[in-house]
Amino acid sequence: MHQTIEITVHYFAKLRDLTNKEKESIEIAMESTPKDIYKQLNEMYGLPDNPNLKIAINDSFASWESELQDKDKLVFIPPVTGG
Amino acid sequence: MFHITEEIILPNNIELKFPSSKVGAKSIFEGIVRDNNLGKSVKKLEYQCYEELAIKEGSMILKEAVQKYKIDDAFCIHRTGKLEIGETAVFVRVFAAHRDDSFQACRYIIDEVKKRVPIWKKEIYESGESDWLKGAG
Repeated sequence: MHQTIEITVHYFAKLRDLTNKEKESIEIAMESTPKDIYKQLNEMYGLPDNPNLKIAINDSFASWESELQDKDKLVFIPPVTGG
Repeated sequence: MFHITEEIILPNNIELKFPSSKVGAKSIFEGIVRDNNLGKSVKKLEYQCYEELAIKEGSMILKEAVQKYKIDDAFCIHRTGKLEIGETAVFVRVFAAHRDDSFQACRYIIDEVKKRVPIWKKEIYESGESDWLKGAG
């Protein structure tokens, strides 16, 4: 059996509306990347297919290929529109 | 200092004391909620913010402004939550010895905040519809 870890995903803007959640904890396979997680969430919630999103892990910008660790906080960041 | 607030921003209440007697210029930019966008009548705005990263990124922008231009101090505060027409959404203030650096730094800060700080704007229209604006990023 594959070992799993637990991470928390936080949602903002359009992604919050589509998931109807501010955040959630999910169990994922070890060595998963944000790319893997987005694929799962896309199937689960119908998120955009070709998203122009940035990634943050534990409140720092990160890559789509970063390997997630147990207890990580993952955020998919839509194009910003402040000001 | 970069701040996020849910409270109404009252520019007159923001501490504007000069940091030193060498300051000869003060530039302020205020972004205000207007009642229209792209031909639609806007009733109010809602800003959502990823606060932990917004403060990090906003503070980095202010630090860059201090390194890039000859300024004495830079300050920025951005509102979140629901805003009415006419309310201040963002306020930037720069102190410098001279006006060129003061103007340029103020412009740099607001431009970078709009490009980089994780804040999102939803327009709520008179028609009852609403939509998240699509960013350029």
